[in-house]
Amino acid sequence: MAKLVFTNVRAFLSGTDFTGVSNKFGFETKYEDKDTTNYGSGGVHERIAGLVDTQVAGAGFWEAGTIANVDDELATNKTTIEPFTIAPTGTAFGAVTYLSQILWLDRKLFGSVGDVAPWELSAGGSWPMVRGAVANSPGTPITVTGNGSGVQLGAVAAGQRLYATLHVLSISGTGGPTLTVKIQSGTTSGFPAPVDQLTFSAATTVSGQILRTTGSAITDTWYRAAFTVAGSSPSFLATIGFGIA
Amino acid sequence: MALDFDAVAVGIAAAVTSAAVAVNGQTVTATDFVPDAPTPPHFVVAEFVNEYHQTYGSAGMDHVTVKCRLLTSRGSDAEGQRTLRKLATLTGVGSIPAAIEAARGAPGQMALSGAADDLALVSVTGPRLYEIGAVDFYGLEFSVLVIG
Repeated sequence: MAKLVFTNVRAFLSGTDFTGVSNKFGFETKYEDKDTTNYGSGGVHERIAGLVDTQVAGAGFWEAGTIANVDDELATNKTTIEPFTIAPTGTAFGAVTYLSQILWLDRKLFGSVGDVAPWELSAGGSWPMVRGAVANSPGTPITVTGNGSGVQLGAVAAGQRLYATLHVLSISGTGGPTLTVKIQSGTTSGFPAPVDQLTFSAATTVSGQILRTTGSAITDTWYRAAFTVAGSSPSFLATIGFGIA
Repeated sequence: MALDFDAVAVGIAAAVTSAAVAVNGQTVTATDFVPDAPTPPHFVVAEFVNEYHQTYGSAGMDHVTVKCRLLTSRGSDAEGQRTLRKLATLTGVGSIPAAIEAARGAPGQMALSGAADDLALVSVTGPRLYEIGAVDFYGLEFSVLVIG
């Protein structure tokens, strides 16, 4: 992959797509430096990694009105740990993505006369920042029950977990449109005997969720999203990311 | 969203037309381009400078500064220049800035009939002489910030 000028970074917090209202997003992951130097270290420091912490920062332009806008999102979900997904090269299926759950700790709103009204956000991670892939692009509406394409993330070793985020960005239709998403694993790209690994709660509103497995090993190496859709003429735009850590 | 620059120019000209600003008894003609032969008093939408990618996304936000000019006949010399100064005020009847900012819409609503997120007057310079088609006009130049 060639080097990249950042333009089409996609960032999602719960049910809010921050893409068109943000111009800065980044995260920093730090492990505590634990010194284990001892008399047998041969005169050099030895160390191990301690607790890991993730800090997320973002900035952009303020909008308000619905839960899909940054002001409503930050006001509604203060003190709430929320699913977060960022895709540095866009949200095409299979694109690199990072996901976690974060708690925003500091927000700054507004600025000087004549400015385009700004916002700034800093947040702390509550789960690891997991590197993975886009399992469903928000550019393609989900309208029928079915399965997404598979991604070969690899096997999950004992002690590791499969993580997945679901950001439901818009819902249309009548008769109580409902989207239920599962993350399934399979032995091959054809998923001959798919196994449900994670099942999100049925989504009926613009909202987000994050789940992870228990830490048991998964020998399957292929993963996909599976959709169950209910309602009359239902249509959903959703970003789904998954990864192993 | 990404701006349709032509729609922005058309929208600004339409806003001035809608205000029906009069200069010495003559209603200002507004066009979204600079004609070869302006008919003073004539408001024209001229050059623009845009900064792309003000936000993430394949169609990131644009931040465009549009130059607009109000041209009057040179024959009106002193009175013409005094009139231009009065038209430069930000508020009131006959204000060109007020005519343009009326197109902002209500807070939170789209501006320029949906062509932009918002706009604001940034500056005005003049009066000075502008030569168009070998004819000199006194004029003011307005800088309008448009985002979307």
